[in-house]
Amino acid sequence: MMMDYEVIHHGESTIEISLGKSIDMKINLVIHSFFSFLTDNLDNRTNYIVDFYPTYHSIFIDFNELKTDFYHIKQKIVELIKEFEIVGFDDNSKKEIIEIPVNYGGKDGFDLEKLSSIVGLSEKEVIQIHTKPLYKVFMIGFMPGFPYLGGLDKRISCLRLETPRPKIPEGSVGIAGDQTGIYPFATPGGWRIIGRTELKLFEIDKTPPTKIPTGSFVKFIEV
Amino acid sequence: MLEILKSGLFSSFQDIGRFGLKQYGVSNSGCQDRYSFTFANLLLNNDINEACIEIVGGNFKCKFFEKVSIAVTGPSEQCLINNEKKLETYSSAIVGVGDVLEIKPSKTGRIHYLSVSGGFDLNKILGSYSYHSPSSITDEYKLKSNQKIKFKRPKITTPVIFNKDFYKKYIESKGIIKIIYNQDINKQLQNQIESREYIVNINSNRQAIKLESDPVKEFFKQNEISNGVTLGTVQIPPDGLPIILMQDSQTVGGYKTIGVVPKYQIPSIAQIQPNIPIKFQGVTLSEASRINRNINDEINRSNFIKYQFTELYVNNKKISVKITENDSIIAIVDDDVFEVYKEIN
Repeated sequence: MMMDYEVIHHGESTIEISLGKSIDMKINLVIHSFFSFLTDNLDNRTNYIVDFYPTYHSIFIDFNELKTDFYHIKQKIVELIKEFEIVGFDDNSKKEIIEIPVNYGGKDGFDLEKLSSIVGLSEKEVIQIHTKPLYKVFMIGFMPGFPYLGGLDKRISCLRLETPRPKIPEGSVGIAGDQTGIYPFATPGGWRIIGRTELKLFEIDKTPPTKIPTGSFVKFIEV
Repeated sequence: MLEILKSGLFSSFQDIGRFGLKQYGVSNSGCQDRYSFTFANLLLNNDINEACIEIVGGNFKCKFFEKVSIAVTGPSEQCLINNEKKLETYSSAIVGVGDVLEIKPSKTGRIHYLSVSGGFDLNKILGSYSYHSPSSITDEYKLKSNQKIKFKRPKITTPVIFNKDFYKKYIESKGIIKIIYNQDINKQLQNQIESREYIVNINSNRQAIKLESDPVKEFFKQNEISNGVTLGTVQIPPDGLPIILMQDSQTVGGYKTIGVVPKYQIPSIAQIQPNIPIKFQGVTLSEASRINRNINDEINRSNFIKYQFTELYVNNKKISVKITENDSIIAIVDDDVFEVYKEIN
């Protein structure tokens, strides 16, 4: 398999390997497969990598700019990509499914009523549609452990609030545009909240600290 | 042990940062002014990554309950011990039981670091002592008034002073922010960015420095697909006002990015006062790397002037002999200071 990629610098100490600018299940699968490959190979061969992580369509690598530079890292990355192309990507590498029990509506899902009327469905139908798919964790970001989930049914997609709320409770499940996600911590936010889970998504004394790793799948269960 | 009497605007524990956890959405955090942080530990011969108290905006007061060496770095004004004795920044000193250290707001910067010899007695969270402001995972690292903090291995070290030109030369704002533009940013846009004069918005914090000016026009009305960002990333949101991402920023962002501020300029940006006008100026990747390495070499070669304390007892009276910064020798007896004359043969 050949990878169509671009290597971009972000300042002196960050490099991006980009597979194009889109939210695409196939591209994201390659990204996660390459991320696993890097996890196995990058640290063994270098002593200047500080951090690296996948996004929708890219891998970001932070390195110690006093020990190496962009051009050297770029060369190293090109070598690794060549090896990865030979090994081939493994789309079964992260088939882990995490079930998330959710209390929909009521005081836990304070926006469910409004969202249902906006999309022209009953609350029950919205819950049915939301609990049906297996959502892919495209990336983690925004805050520790926050999963960006892909695969929301377009019938229940809904624009985010114009003015964000000052505080959204921990565990809230929300919808914003074509995305759905879970807030691991209480925070200000503009997503429309349809339910809440009691599950702790981020715990500092666990390894890894996130319950939902990047690249895995999420299934919502109504309780 | 010390007790925080006044925690000031915003005080927290910080070390060099928390790495390897961006895949879980955890930003690096860590000290905002890496140079002043490093010196706070170098001055005391501490481990280079020992946690320090990062004090934003001054108005900080603490009381010591045991004898220990301390160091304060940051804006070049003096700090006060017991409301009278002056402590220079970028120097270390010995404090005793009951001594009170006060750090006032500064006119030439925003952030001070307080270190103690041997470090503070803390437990690491996810491998680091750095407070992460956007989440509640490190709440115990944010300092509150009346909080008491234990020391790990309190030690006495020879008081030393470092040449303060370093702050003036590399950290104090000169009104210029360098930027390494992204490869896709054209000259016309660069000119638009560089022709404006900005001031730092008062709502800036550990996540981002927000700038105010005439908005950058005809540009980026749409947000982009969220993608990775890094320390120093410059974003232009739809309102046209640039944001510089700092240590506690999100790991991904959805605003258009135009470039990254070089590593060596981050301390200076963190220290900029809200009322000082600043402009952007482009710098190449290789030039930025060269400057960064040069400054780092200068830190590695740093020379501290030693104030050597010698204590003598004459007829049961304690006499301290000290060499001052300008090489004169003084003796201190019962809190009176005498100049000592060298005998010339």
